[in-house]
Amino acid sequence: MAIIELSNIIKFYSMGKVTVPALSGVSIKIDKGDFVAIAGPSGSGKTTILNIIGLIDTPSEGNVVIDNTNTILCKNAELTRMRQKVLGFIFQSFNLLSGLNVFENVELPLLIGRFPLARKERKEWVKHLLEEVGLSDRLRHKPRELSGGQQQRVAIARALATKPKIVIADEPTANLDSQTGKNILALMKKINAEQKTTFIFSTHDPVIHAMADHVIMLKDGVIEKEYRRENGDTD
Amino acid sequence: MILLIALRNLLTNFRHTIIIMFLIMLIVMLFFIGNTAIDASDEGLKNTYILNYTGDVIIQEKTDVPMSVFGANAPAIGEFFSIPILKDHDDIISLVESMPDAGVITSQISGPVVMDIGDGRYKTFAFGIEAQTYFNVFSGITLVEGELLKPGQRGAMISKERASMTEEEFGKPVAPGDMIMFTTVGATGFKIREVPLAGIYEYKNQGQIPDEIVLVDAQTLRALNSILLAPETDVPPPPQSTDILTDDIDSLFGAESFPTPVDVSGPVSITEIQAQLSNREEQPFLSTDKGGWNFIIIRLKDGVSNSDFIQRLNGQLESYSAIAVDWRTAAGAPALLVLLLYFLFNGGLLLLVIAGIIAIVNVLLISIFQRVKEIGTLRAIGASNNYIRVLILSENLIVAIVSGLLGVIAGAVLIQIINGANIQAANSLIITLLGGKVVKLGFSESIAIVSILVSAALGFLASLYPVQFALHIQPVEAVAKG
Repeated sequence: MAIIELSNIIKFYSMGKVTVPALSGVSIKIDKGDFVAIAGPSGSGKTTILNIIGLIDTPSEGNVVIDNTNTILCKNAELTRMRQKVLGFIFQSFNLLSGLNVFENVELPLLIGRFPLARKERKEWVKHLLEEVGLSDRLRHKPRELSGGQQQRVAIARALATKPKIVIADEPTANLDSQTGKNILALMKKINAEQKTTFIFSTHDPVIHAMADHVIMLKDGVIEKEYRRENGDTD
Repeated sequence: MILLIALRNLLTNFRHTIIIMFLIMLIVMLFFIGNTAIDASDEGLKNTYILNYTGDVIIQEKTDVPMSVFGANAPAIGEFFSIPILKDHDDIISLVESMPDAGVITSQISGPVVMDIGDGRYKTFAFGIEAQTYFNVFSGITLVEGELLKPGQRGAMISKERASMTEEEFGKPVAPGDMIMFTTVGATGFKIREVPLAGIYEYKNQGQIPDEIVLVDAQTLRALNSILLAPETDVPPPPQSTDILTDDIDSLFGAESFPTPVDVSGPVSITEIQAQLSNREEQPFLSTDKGGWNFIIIRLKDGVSNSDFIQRLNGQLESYSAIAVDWRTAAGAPALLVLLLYFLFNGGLLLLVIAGIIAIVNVLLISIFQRVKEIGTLRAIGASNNYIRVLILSENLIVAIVSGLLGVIAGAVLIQIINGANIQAANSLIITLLGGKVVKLGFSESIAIVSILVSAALGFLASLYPVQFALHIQPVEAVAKG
């Protein structure tokens, strides 16, 4: 059953008098629990698709249905609620709040979304998440005191804090060395397998998208190729 | 957490924070010191006037022009203006005496006079006083030399400053027993009276206006101001005074009705005139002076609210043509000058505040522009409009309140420095405004609180536009600026 359904998405950006197309009629269906890679070269539209799925951008045309809600018809407050409860977002450059420490960064979405958790429960849950990503010894560190890989792990823990149905990661390994990148993907895959959370990530690295079980290849704003891989399959 | 984020953001953006803090601190410090000075001046004036001239409440006849104990506040050009007599003085006195909040009460006449004392001639202002009660009401008056005027006594009292000035000017000391001549001019021509100097006094608070006031017995000032004199005895007039009231009208114009004219063909010396003026028999006053009065002056009992008392009193005065006013109205122009200063200062400060708000708005906008990625990220992870609004407002209110507090502390320190410097005011108007010669400013808790509230309001107002700007930041900016 599809948890995400994009129908004929068109997106163009106006830059003065010039209109630049980013997506030209993309339709995608993603099932619950999928581990999806959106692959393609730079400028192919990967980030645009992720932004639209993550409700941080809107398409110029087309329909976006997420968790049975047609988001095109939603008002701002409903979109905010979905960002709080349904979606988690991992940014390419981590986007951790520099004023907060590791623990506070992960705790933040729970406080913003006013999740009904007692203070003690909330603290325990955040600690558990940070243990899961291997940062239980870095709780009080500021983001600037962490390596790129560690920051990305914090970003993953933050995205998972609200137990979202869907986690979107925009090139999560782009700013990391290849080994750290693989480790991050392995961590995401583990969480996907354990919690059945749908992961959608973009990459232009064939080694990374080889780890996905649903691959969508984009080129010049259209789907060039899409395939699913059964367990054990390789390219 | 939102406050924690706000605090951390302030520390992270320390450069912008410190600029905003400095601006707000400066404005609040000016506001605090300025209003403290005005408050001190107002308090000084209030003490000066209440203790020395006006009491807490004054009852006067209703007039078309604003009036103080010194006469009309707005001079009537081209016509004489005399202070009206209280028509129902005795009834109003009884009314006030029946009010339990009223403390001591006295009555007064006022008017400008020309005073000849020693070899000097001065334009001055005379208060015709009810000697029996006046010095109970005005406890700020202390005797330096001679004696206080007594009920029934003709005489005058001048201030120590006036006596010193006269002595300095003419090299002759002024002492009790010296004669003082008063001259007035009114609709019925010139009036001249001479009375002995009974005493020299000083006011608790000094200033320009106190030096110019002379206290005179009420009967003398009534005569000078052509006001109904009090009867000097309550026994019937002697028969020889009523003999002329016969049925024979013609006899009224007979030669026997007129005394033999005094021969004035020769020169008359000033000494003779002065002797004539002084040659008045001492007449006993009635225990209650029934002559005309301009004002009833009231000191209230401790803890009684002026405005509340005046409101109640005016309710009861509706059937009379009189009105009760507070010390500020009774004090006239100098007290209004402080109000004018207050409005001018705060008006000027308002312009500074507006300039400050514009500057702070600009700094905040730059700060928010630099934080687009952070705000976009917050929105992307689910922050609502309200969350962003509260975050930005919290940051700015924290800065504003802390800056306000620092501004008040800086102002208080500066006030201590000013007080410690023992600055002497040279100008008599400033002395009057300050209620003393030495510049002393107090720490007013209420002004401190108002200053911090002004600071918070400043922070809030300066945040409105930047908040709107922040609310327009879309989640996608988190990626775009990434």
